[in-house]
Amino acid sequence: MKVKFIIKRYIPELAKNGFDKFEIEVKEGMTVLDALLYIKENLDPTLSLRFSCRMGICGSCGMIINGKPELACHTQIKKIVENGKIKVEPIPNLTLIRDLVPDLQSAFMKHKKIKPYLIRKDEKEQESPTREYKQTPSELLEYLQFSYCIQCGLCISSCPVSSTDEDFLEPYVLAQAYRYCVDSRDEGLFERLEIVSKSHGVLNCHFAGGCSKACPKGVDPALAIQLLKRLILKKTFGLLKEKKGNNIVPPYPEGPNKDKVPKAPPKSV
Amino acid sequence: MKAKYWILHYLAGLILFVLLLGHIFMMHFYKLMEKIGFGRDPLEWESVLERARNVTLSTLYILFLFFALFHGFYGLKNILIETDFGKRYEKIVVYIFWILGIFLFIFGTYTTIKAGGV
Ligand code: SF4
Ligand code: FES
Repeated sequence: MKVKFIIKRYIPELAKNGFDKFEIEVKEGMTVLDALLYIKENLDPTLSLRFSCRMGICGSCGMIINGKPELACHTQIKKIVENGKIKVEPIPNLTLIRDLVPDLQSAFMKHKKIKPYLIRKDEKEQESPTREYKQTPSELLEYLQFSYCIQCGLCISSCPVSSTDEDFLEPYVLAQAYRYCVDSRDEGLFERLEIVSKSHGVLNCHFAGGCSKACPKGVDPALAIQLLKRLILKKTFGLLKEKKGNNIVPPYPEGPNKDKVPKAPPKSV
Repeated sequence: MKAKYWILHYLAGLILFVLLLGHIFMMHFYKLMEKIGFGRDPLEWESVLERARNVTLSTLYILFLFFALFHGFYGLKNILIETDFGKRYEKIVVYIFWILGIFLFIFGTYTTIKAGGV
C-alpha cells in the first residue's frame, strides 16, 4: 500500500517552515516511526525527529498524527491512514527546535520544581539510604496509575491552559506532584501542595480533560489534578495532616538457614 | 493564600447562584407572587422604597455586591494572567483589581445604606 506522508518541516537556519510530502510503500505492521525513519534513511536525511526505545516507554516520539496526539512508535499506519494520507506535526504548546522536535526543557524544569522524589525528614537516610522503605500493595495502588507517566508531553499538546499560559505547571507535572503527595513513603506533602497551589499552578486548571484523553499510557492527569485540588481544599480547612512516611525495612534477620545458602560460584571473567 | 481565594471564588459562585434565584423571583415573578397574595410590581416607587428600608434585604444587597465583585474580579484576573500581557503585569493587575473592588464595594455599600434613609 502506498501512503503519502505530509510532514511539518521547520529548519530555522534555512528559514524553512512548511510541509513536505513523501510517498512510500508501507508494509503490514509498520508504525509511523518506522515510516519516518525510512524517509530519513532513504529520502531526506535532514528530517529531524526524536525517538529512542521504539516501544512506547521512553516518551521521546510524541507527535500529532492526523490531528491527534500519539506516540509515533505506537501508532500503526494501517489503523490511522485516511485517504492514503498521514499528516505528521510536532507537539504544539512547546517551542519548536526543528521539524518534529519540540523543546521539552521548560516542562522538565517545571517537573523539577515539584520535587519529584521521596522527601524524608531524615535527610541522612534520604541522601544515603541504607535500605528500602516499607510499602503495602494497597499503598502502592494509591499512586501506581500516575507513576506510568513517560513524560512524552502529549498531555501538554491538548491542554488549553498550556496553550495560552506558558508558565502553567503542565498536566503531567501536576499528576507527578499528586503521585508523590500520596506516596506512603513520602513526607513532603505540605511542601509540594504549597508549590502547586501558587499562581499558574493546579488552581489554574480549567478541567477541560484533554490531557487524559491524549495520554497514551492511561495516566489520567485530569483525575490527579482534581485529587490534588481536593488535598488543597482539605489542607486549607485544616482537615489534612502532614504524613509520617513509612519506616525503612528492618535488617534481614540472620536466620538459621543462612549457612545452607550455597556459595556463589567463582568469577568466570 | 492563593488556595483561600480560590475556594472563596467557588463559594461566591454558589452563593451568587442562590441570591440570583431570589432576585429573579422577586423582580420577574412578582405576578405569580401577587396571585398568592404577596408582593406587587417591584418597580413601583413604594416597592423600591420599602425594599431599600428593609434591613434584611439591604444586608443581602451588600452581600450580593461583595460576592459578585469578588467572583467577577477574581475570575477576570485569572483570565488576564493567562495572557502574555496579564502575566507580564501580574502584580499590577492584582493591585488594580483589589483597589477597584474595594472602591466599588465601599461605593455600593454607601449607596445601599443611604437609599435606606440612614
Ligand atoms: S501524563 Fe500521559 S500524556 Fe502526559 S506526559 Fe505523562 S504519559 Fe505523556
Ligand atoms: S520511541 Fe520511545 S516512546 Fe516512542
